[in-house]
Amino acid sequence: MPLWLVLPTMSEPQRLHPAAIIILALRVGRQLVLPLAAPVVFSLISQGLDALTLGFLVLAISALTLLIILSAGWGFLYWQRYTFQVVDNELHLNQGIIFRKQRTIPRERIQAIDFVEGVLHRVFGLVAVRVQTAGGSEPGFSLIGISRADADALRQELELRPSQVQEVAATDADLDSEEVPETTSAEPAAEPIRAISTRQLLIAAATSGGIGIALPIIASGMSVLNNMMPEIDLFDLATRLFGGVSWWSIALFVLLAAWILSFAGTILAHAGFTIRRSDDNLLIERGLIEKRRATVPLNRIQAIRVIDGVLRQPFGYAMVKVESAGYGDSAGESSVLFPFIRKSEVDQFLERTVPEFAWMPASYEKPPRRAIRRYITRKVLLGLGLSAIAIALLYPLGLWALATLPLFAAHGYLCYRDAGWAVSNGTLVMRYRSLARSTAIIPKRRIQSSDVSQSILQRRASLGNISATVASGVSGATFSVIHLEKGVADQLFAWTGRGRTSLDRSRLPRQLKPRGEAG
Amino acid sequence: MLDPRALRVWRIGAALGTLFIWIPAIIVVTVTYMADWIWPWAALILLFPLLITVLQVLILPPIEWRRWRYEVSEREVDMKRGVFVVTRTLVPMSRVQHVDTQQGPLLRYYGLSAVTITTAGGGHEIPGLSEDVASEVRDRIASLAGVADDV
Repeated sequence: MPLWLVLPTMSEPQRLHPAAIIILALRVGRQLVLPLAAPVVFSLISQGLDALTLGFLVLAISALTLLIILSAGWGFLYWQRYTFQVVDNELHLNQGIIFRKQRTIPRERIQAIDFVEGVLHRVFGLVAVRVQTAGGSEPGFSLIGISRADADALRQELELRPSQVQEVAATDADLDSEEVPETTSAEPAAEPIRAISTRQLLIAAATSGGIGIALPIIASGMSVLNNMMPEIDLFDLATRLFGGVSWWSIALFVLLAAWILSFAGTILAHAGFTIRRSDDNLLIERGLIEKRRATVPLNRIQAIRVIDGVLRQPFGYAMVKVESAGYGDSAGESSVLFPFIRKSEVDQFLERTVPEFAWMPASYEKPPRRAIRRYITRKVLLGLGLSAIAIALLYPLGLWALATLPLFAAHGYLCYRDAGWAVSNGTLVMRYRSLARSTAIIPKRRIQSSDVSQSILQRRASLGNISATVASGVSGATFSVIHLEKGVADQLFAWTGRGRTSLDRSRLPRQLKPRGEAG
Repeated sequence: MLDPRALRVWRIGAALGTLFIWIPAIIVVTVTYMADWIWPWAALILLFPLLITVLQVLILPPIEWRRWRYEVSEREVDMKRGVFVVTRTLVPMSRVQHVDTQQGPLLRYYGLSAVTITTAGGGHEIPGLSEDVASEVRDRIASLAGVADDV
């Protein structure tokens, strides 16, 4: 019998400290104040001092009463329904007025707890206990107010070492945003692993994919400008620049403006991009006007993505991005590890910065040939849909949109050609193309969950999709390769798991045999 | 297998959801009727919400219910579901951060509960289990997650 079964129950369900009702009520009151005060303020504004009649007073007083009743009532009910308890090495929470929730957190998953003390907490001698879970992208939750003695008891019951408890002083506003105050330590300046040169920066800016984002901004900006200031004649400007007004010259003008915008954006963001490694952290410095410094702890990095931009791939250059987890002062996010690097140098660069991820496979396992048709159909259908919109909006000029269909078909074929995966030594590499080609390097131990899926159309061809999710930011990042041989997708899926369940009876294929990997 | 009562809850939920198409459709038909404008052809618009309702309330929920499978093994949680796209999801125990059971008013009325498994990469839900089974599944996953340690 496992040990935890014979241990006695360590505590009864416990409520928060009653004074937490006040904290809860104030918190909800703050949100209710605006909608309830609105009618009062509105009549004051619209009628001035004349508004100060008996009716107004009644209105104001009833709004205030409602506010107090609602927030106090909610605070009380919340407090009444909220209990916590430590049983069998697990923290149990029970909460919710209308939507009931019971949460169980294994003690082993609790990385640390913070005792957060706001102004109100100090008045009542309380602390808020914020529980952090491992590699989490969000703080698990926080116990809004319990007495210090109870907090210490909780710490002991969870058998956390004192070093796992952090004292945080906070204003009450901070409590909501769940921010941890910055703990900056002076890092010794390490030798840069890589810095961007001016020439590289200029090429990077010229080939950045930002034009896709800038284009709609410019286009809508121009139409707004045209409406607001008719005296600035855009047609005239276009005429002088390109000679002759036509759809082509305007399109060219917009394209040029968008390109300049994206060029400037890249320069501003990535000028002086330098990456250093100091102990277990990567230090990234960048920015032309506003210098930005970011610290990425190596153990928070979940996956690496190498992106061959549409304009960069032909020249053999790429961008390297990193998906990292965390919250508070080390917020998890998807951020740039290096903006512009020769493809052939990526392997070496990864080796020096993030050795765990240093594997760019020489060859990939591919979707079967019968998937080509589906890759192409997918994109052509998308093209048809977009053309339909263009035709509906701009008939008959929109008919030209149909001429772009071969481009969509070609793109579909490229998506097929670039799709692939490779597995070695506990690392999964997935390559896929959306617009740019991405190569995601994912260590198996970083995979939070994996999916294999098959639509009814795919079932007939026995094709399937595989995807893997890693922690990144709040919601995680998912990478997929579509239209693989279903059997292969299933085996890849089984590889991402630990054991085999009865839902799965497939054998591992040749390329998935473990090569001296643990687990 | 999910609890048979889940099917009823899904149907009620789907029926409530179709109100979002029924209401605008009925408004359109009423307006055309009052304005005596392309009436009675406008009434054909009602076929659209009708079709959606038949699909969403009558046809799809039983298929979805029959397809739903989950299994909690020592090392992972395995879920399989879907009508048009069948998806199987694997969550390693060592990645589970916490497990919830949740119920809104409708689920509570039918004595059901949903289990949500949270990892650093997001949440996964097993919907519509009876309250007892849900608590059992929650506690089982939590205790297995507690011992899985290849983080």
